[in-house]
Amino acid sequence: MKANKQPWIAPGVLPLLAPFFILFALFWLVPLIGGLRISMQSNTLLGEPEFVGLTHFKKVLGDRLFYLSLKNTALYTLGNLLLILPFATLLAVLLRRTWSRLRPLLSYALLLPALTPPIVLGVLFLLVFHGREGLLNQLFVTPFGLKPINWIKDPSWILPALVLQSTWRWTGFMAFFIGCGLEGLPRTTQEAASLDGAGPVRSFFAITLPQLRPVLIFCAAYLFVDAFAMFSGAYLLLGGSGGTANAGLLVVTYVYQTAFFPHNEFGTAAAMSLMTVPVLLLVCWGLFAFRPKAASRMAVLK
Amino acid sequence: MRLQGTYSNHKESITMKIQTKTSKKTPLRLTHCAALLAFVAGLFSAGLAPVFAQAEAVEAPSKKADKSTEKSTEKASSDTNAVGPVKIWISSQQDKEYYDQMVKTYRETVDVDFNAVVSAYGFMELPDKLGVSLRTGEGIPDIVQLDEAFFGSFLADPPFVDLTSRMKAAKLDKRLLKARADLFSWKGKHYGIPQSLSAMVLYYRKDLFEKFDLKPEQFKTWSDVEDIGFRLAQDEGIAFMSMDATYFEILLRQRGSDFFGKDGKAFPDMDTAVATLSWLVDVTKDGIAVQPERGSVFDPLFFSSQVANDDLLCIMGADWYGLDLLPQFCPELEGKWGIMPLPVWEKGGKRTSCFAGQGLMIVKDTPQIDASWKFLEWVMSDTEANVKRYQMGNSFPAYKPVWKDPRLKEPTDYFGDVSMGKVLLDIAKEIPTVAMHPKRPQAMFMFQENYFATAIHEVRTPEEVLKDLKKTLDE
Repeated sequence: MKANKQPWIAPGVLPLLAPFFILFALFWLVPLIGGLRISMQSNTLLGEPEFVGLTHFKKVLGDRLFYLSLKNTALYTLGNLLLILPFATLLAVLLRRTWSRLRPLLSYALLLPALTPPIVLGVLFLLVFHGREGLLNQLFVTPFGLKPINWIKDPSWILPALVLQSTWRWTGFMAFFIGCGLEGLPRTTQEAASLDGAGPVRSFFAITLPQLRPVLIFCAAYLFVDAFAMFSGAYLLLGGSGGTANAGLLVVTYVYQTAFFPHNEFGTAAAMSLMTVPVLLLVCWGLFAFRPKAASRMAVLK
Repeated sequence: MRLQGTYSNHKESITMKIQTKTSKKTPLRLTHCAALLAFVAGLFSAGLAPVFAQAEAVEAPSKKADKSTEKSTEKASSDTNAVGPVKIWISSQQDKEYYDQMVKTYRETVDVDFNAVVSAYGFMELPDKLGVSLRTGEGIPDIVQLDEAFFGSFLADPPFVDLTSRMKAAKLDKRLLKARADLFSWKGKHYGIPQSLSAMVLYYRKDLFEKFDLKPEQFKTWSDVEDIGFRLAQDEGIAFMSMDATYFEILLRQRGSDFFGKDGKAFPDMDTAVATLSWLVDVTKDGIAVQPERGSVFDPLFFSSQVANDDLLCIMGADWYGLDLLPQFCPELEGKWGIMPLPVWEKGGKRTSCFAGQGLMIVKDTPQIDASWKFLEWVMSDTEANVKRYQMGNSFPAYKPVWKDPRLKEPTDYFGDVSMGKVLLDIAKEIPTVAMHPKRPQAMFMFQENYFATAIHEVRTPEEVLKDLKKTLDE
């Protein structure tokens, strides 16, 4: 008997999903296919480019700067995840415990940095990271008797500067998501734990955090993709370069340099971009593989 | 169908109902899937079709491009008025104002039918925009103004018209200063005409020189700069000059070398290159030269901080630096600047060098080649156009016949009684040639953005830095 088998998707839903697929096709699939086409053509600017197959891909595989940019991007992403997620969780918990009347105002304040255009943030952070007179040095470095840090020129501090910039931008936004996740958690388990004598810290790590896993995985995926796509912040701070000793050279920056000044190699840049897709897909797959499985597959709205 | 009968009948009828519904829905589901697959397949085949078409029909693209260029050249000769205004792309608003005026003057005095649209884009944005328009074939300009720093990145397969024969016919090859005329050339072909002399000088603060009892004549050699500059740094706490990554190639060129040699290899004279970079590191370490906060003498913050705070006495810069940037970013220092040639490295050495400078090129395949050339030729050789370029704070012309004009020796408002023209004309013949190379932009960019700071902050020695850069460029 083939009873009780839920339909994978109700037929009437497909037209409702069509706008997403159309936009997905227009703004992702078509550019992806176009990029694939350019990646297999010569770097000729004017005139008809010729088919070169996988030449650009082979060139990128032998390019040490590409690997450096991947390494920098990986470190940058890791820095973001390690700083932003814990801070955001802490902020979300604190936000829940604060006066309810203050909560909307504080939520708005936390969201503001994420709503600011990245290029504006880049200009702002030029002042924050200024060598001697910058805000960061004036507030957190020189008052403690330390030598001012040249955040933008010292190769040891360029990547941390980029991570700090991203932390400032996304912590509040992630706190907002995590706060929403906290709101959705059942209180019964918390109450049961406290009845059993679990303290707030134990309760948080043993009960709240595991239940927050889906939200945290979503936040991690979001931050991961944002870190890999990071361009405007680094471009403005480092003037379109990778900074001293290429310490701040990220993948998108290197792709930009290859496509435009100083290389003008669109084919090679397209190949480089495409080569990051498997990395992104693999990591995202890995992240979502850790999410808790759904109790049952529900039929879509009838 | 209503449910009737026993429970087992009920179950059976439900099963039959589901099966019936399922069997009815299956074709619909299949249809939806098939439609989606067809949509995706269509996108793939549309996107990839040109790739396979090119793989099958292998024909040298340069031949194709040459054929199309020949065709369009023939068309341009006979059909110059039917294709709309000449599109001119300029890389700064200030230059746009100059070229707007030149278009107007050209129409009034030479060709009433000439029509042009001048658009300004950012200095860094224009080469990017040009690359995109060339690659896509959309909105390609007829004339484009490019700095020599970016010119090399288009040399793999130059998209510009070869102007050699035209320049020869117009005698521009002889009348432009040779060192500048050869700037926008590659493998014996001239692709662009230089707009400026770009001679390097030292802009010094007359008021601060007076304060510290200094005279320009005391700085004949760079050794003099070291000696006096060291004393000033120690005793008075003031730097003699600014420091910038671009100074390396400027001074290297002054010493007779460059980023590339005639054989196309990087750093043909490594010893001189190492000595020059070491000198820059030493004078920075000793406080004789001071690096701007954000590392660039072209950054507006440099003018509003170190320059405004009297932290230094001199800035090394080209003619366009003094005509454009100083008045723009230090209006309060009007009348306080003097101009002197660069100190020499040894007796009889060059008193100047050169850096950057804009040139004008005509893009291949434009239907307006002749019209564009006629306008360019006029802008570069007309006396009034050249004088105006200087007077409007653009640059000092590289066109020698116009140097006799007394207006070029007159002081500009900003420099008070100091004549920039006199200083420039005195050193013009000593301007060295720039070794143009397709990797020159890459070399400049990598050195300025990565390697220079590594040496200045003593993360690595100058020799290590330059050898590493040489290895990267020669790969």
